[in-house]
Amino acid sequence: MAIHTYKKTKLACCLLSITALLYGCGGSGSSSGANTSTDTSIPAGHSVSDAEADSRANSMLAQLTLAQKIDIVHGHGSPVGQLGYIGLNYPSVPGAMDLAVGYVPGIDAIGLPENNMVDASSGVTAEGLQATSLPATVALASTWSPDIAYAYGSRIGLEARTLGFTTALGGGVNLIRDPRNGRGFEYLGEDPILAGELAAKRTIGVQENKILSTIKHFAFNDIETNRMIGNSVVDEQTMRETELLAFEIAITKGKPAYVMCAFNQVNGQYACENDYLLNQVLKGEWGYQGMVMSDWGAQSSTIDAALNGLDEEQPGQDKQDTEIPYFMSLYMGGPWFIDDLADAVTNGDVPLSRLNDMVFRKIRSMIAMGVVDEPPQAPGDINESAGNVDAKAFADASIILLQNKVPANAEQTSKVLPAKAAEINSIVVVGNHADKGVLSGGGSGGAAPLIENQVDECGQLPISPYPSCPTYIGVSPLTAIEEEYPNATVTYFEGDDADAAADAAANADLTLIFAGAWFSEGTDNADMKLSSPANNDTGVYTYDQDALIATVAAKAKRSVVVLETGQPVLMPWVDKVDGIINAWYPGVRGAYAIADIISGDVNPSAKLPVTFPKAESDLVATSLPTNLGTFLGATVSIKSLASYIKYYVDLYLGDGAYDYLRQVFYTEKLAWNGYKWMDKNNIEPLFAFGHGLSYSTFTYSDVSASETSDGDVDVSFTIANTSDIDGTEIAEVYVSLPDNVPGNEQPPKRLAGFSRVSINAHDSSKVTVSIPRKYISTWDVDSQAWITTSGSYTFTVADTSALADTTNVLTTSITIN
Amino acid sequence: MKTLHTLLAASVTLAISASAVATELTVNDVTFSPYARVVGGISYINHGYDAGETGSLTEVASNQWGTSYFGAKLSVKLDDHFTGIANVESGFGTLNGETNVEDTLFNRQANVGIAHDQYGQLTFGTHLMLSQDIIDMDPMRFQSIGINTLVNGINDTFAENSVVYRSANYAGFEFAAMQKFGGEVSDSERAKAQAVSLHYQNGGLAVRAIWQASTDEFGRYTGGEYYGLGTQTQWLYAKTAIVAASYQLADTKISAGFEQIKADDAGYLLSYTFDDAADMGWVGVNYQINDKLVANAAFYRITMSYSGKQSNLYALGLNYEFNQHFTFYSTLGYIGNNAISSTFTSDVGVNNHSLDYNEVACEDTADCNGASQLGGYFGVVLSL
Repeated sequence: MAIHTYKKTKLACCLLSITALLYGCGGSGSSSGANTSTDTSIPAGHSVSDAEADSRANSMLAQLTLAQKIDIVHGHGSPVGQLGYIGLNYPSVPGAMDLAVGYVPGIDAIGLPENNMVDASSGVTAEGLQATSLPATVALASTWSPDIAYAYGSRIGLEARTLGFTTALGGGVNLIRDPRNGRGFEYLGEDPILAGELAAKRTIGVQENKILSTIKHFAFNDIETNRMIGNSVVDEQTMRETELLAFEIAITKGKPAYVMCAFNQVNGQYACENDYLLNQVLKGEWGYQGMVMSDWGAQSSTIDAALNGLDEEQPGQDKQDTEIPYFMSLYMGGPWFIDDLADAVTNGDVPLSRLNDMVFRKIRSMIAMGVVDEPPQAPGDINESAGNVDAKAFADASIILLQNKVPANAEQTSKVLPAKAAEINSIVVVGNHADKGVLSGGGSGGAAPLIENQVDECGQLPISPYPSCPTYIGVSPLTAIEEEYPNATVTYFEGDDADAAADAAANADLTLIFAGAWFSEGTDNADMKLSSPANNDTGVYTYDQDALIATVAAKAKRSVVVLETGQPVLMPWVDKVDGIINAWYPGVRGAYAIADIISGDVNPSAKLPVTFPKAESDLVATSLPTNLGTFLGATVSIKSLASYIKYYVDLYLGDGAYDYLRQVFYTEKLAWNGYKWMDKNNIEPLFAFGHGLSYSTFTYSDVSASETSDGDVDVSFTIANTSDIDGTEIAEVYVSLPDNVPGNEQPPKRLAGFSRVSINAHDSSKVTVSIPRKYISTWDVDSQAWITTSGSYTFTVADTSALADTTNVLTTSITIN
Repeated sequence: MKTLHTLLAASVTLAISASAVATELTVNDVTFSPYARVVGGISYINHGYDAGETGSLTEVASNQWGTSYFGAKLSVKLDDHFTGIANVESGFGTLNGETNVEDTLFNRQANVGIAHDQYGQLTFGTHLMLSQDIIDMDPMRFQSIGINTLVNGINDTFAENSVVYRSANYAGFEFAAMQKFGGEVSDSERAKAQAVSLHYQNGGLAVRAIWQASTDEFGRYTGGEYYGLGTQTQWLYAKTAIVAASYQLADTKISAGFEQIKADDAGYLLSYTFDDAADMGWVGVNYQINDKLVANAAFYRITMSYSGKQSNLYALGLNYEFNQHFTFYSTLGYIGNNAISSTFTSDVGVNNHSLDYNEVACEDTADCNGASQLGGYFGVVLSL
């Protein structure tokens, strides 16, 4: 069993460390042999086999001195900081690319190339490099397409490689547990199987281009409030069947070079020094062979971090005595892995074998990804047109038609969309800076604007690689609409004067009301409302968008709301508008995709990867945690100031208040926020997980399920396109487990598989969804294993998780022993 | 980018350089022959595209007709047959006064060697690549609207760290060979190049053949700066074969040629497939209207076998030589690109060649595939 395997590993490490110490610090104390794989196949996305990577890495490791080893297990600073990254000057880093956000030098003597890292959640975000800003990661999840995830990753990898970088930071798979999470747009929705499968393919796509990819933030960094001091309290079975399952799929299938550990604590131990997460689960049970890097500033110790599985400190600093600006020093902490680690190895607190393992993982990962044989090249130019083609294709597949009704104020019997260009003579476009660009998220996962933020009211850097202000990028929706409807009169209203816009809407054939909600790393949105002066003080939002929509829609002949948001939002006006399109943050070519979907040139196909609730009271956590940093007068809680925060919190609120308020209790257990929570509690969502409309109509039939010889389950069914329009349908397969499954209460149903299939008009397609046995299994804490309980398993095939809202529901059961 | 742009737009020939020599100074048997040229005017293109915006662009014409430069030749007579020679030359642009290559004093030529009146000359240093010899077969004589437009400047390159041999003329034949050295085996920047050029002249007939192979820093023929033989960026790392001929009949010179480019390693080990081969043909005419006025016309077509990209370039121009030191010029160009299948666009980008090979054309930002572009430039040249 896994835990026994882990114990053997630790024993082997101890023996090897003794051997290694006998060789001294000069370095032939490698763990040669123990680190050698015999697998000669080349994993997807890798360039050489594990066996070759291990063999060569052992040889290279044996030639290194202690100083050389120490030099490559810590970052050397954040080079881009010297340019004023997030407004804070960081010292320059010798040898690094100026635009790198992290840097680890190479070692020429063994042919190990340098490692320049760049943020790249939804496209490379480096100042002024014309990289392609793709739709946000949550939009990628809306495609429900592993193929598109692969292409998405491939575009990122290709451009990162073109620009001379070695590592592309991205691949967030934290599950959406709270729609107010400031980083939710960087993640892949609320379901572990959807998120894990897509993240795996994204990773393969990135790494095929000889770029090291990350999967992050490991784990349970599901909210930004108090992220550096918070403690996620989760029982083991819940961990394994929810967010860790997403990581398990992404990591074991995608084989990333890096796993980035999170800021927060998990069950009382920081994620970057969490023995259970890093040693037992990640490296032990899952057999992860890559590196664990800290999130920027997430490390908290030297010995515990090294012993419990952390392999690389980030961002670190060049030398022990490198002078770091005071605030950055406070924020990032450390350095942990320079002199302190060398001392710990020298005096035996950290076995040399453990340092060797850290270095070995680095070398073998760089060999495996092909960057040793094919080092990063001198920066070249981005092929803008090729990037634009991909960005448009991804946006087409990710924009969701949420609502499409017969217009209440127009004399027609057909639905409001598509609005054919030949039938539309006048259009009113309102709000959300639709004359400037489309919204993008903020922080390290945001998109760097191509030229500059096209709506810059915040005075941030002209081209910020780390947007701290709502950033509008790309082609403006107004331009795209004008080009899509060349014969129509298109009029734009800012949105400040709702009555004027409403009066114009009353006379226009079509009214498009753009609305947005901005999310950014480091903080959570105060509520689930669209951005307004009440919840966003950047100055970019000058009016109540909900009120604008209600006012304009009330008079519009045909009203369509176009949402640009990183997470679910509330829609108090939902019954007053005819159509709703959720474009997420659609990327640099998103405006064209919006226009094409409105006109019908593109048939919408995406579905929600996350539930839109009707009210915040329908969430697992009805309110955000108390932001403890405010007790020090700060907007965020900085870990190195935790003792001061604790002092003041306890002073004002009483002893023990700090330790209680920083806890995030996952008391919902397996009823994760979203469809599982709502199913269990009979809550009706506003728009359900898996919901999304098409201009085609589909009919499901003929379902069957069978167990395969290896214990997996194949669920087969037929989908017919009963319309005159070619379309793409996403079919979802849910499983309901037997009642006698041990452990925590299971949700009524959970996603087990899905398929995205294109079907021509009046054609049909036979679909088979193969469901791995693990996806219908549960984690047994006693045996420390995935188990399948004997009994009847019910598989439900549907076009949404809201089964009561659709006629396309097929059910079949099989008995599994 | 602007510096690179300027570099790539550079266009001048050895022949022009030589003819431009107007002043000589001899000190102790060493002859110093400085030369210079300054070019400027106004250029215009429609359907320009950059950073998601499209529109026309009017700006100072800097290097479109040919780069500005200054340089000097040095020679010293060694005996009746041998001469010591050297040539230094630096290009710059009048748009912003920048040198064509940043932080490089002599960015076009910096070489020294020995010449024999029968056996030819051997020089060491930085040279124009031999592909630039094709200038005498280009009806537009290496203007930015010309032979380099559709092949993204593959002929418009330079070779540092190189040795060039040029023969004397034997019965109308001239031969040249070039070796560009790379770094050491352990040096990641070990780009190498080889080239040979053969020229034959018989009366009004001239024939030239060039073969050139240039690798990237990893020794591979990867095409452009990264994207194979794509629409954007200069093509640098490829094998090039050119055959061309011209015939001078009274006041008219007719030229035609064919160039094949192969970048076999385009997209090496990446998950994308790129264009890795291109064929270009051209025809053109230069007509001496009178002693001072020359009219130029040319047609170029390129086809890419993988993506199906095909582009046509039409060029017309007039040069008026007021005197040997001052010339007026004007050139008009139109480029038409076909739209390629969407199957290929994610890999190779759309087909939107521009009149300037560093840029791309776009009429409608929703779809730049197959965009055309019309443009031109006029101005003056003052040379020493």
